[in-house]
Amino acid sequence: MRVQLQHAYCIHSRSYRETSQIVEMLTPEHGLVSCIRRGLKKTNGSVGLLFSPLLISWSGRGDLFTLTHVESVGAKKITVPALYIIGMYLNELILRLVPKSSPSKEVFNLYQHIVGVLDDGDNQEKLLRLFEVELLALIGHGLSLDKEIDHETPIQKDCTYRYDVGLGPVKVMQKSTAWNVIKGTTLLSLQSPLSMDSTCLLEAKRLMRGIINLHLANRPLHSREILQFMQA
Amino acid sequence: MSINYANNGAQAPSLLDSLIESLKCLPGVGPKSAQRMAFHLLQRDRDGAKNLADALNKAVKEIGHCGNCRIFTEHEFCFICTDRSRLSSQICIVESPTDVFTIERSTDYKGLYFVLMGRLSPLDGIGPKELGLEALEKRLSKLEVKELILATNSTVEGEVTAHVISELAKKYNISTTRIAQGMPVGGELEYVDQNTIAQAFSSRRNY
Ligand SMILES: [Zn+2]
Repeated sequence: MRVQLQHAYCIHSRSYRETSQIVEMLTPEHGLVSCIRRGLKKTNGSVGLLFSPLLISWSGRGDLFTLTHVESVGAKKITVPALYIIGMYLNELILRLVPKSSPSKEVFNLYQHIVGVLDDGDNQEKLLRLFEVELLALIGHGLSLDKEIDHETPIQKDCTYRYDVGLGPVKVMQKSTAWNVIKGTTLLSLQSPLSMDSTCLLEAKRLMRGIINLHLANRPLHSREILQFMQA
Repeated sequence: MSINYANNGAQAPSLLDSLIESLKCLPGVGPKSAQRMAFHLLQRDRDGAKNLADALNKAVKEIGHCGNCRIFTEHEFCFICTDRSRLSSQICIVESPTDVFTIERSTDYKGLYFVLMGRLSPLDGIGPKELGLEALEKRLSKLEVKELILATNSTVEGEVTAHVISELAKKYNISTTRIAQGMPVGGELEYVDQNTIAQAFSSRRNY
């Protein structure tokens, strides 16, 4: 197989032997693709590919292709080191949640969009929630945010719900500190995370973290550990 | 007599095979050079081979990390940390022990070091714990540290690492500096890559 000049973002790269790397590329038409990138010199300053829009070509067969061409077609989207960590969180989610070689223009566009706007403004938390909600929907784990578990009863702002992953929200009478017990208003506002208020945002973060943990079979996200270390 | 380097069949690998295989753990050494090395040691330099084996054995058994800065040493503390003439008010943070030697060779830096033995790389499972940031924090809270010099690599991971450590330093009111990035000395614009030029441009200074 020989694929020419595809748009791509590098999601991860790790050194392989002395002068090679194994890179995970997110592409619109081929999904996540693993490639080996050969012939790198250690002194080469342009080794970093993360967060830059790329055009790549690859060839080969099986699970690991050979990267035959890579060029950056624009400036790096994230330029502030503090935001690299958030970018790495996005990358870790992609790598852990998106199945290999399942093409999705939507996943690519979502990633491209969020990476492109992280640098502006101070709404990164909201952008993360937007990314999480949309990514889950795109990979078949969409949340039910406006209807109860029966798919009929509308969610009410002032009620309290327990979110059962895979099923949906169930109205509950008592408040609780469990991660999946949240207010109706939080569920409703997760439909458009960018306009969330700060109280909803806290609850939404807790809920999304719990849901994502379940989808990751409770294996921890390392980028989250770094964020937590900084907040400690 | 036929020599079987490939060691087919179920029998245990010959000593020669396992020597060649072991040599392949060295960086840049493939099967061919490993074979050449093994033959050289056995044919021409058996004493050298013995010394090498002894040195390796001793090194692996006895060399550990400096309790303070984590560079390699067989003592509790390394030659830098025990040198009274060095300034304990400055700590330079680097990713690997080789970086210490590079800085020692190229600069007149007189402070101390902390070696991370890596850089934050969440997707490879390397987090604050793996880099010993808790040990670093202990050092920051105890010592009379005035300046942290962040000399991690200028990769995305290196920058994240520098950022996280600078936040740590803030907690203890320690000032941080980052080694400068930009045009290589003797470099020509035409031959420098885009990212480097962008970095050099944005961190231009008064002249
Ligand atoms: Zn030391």
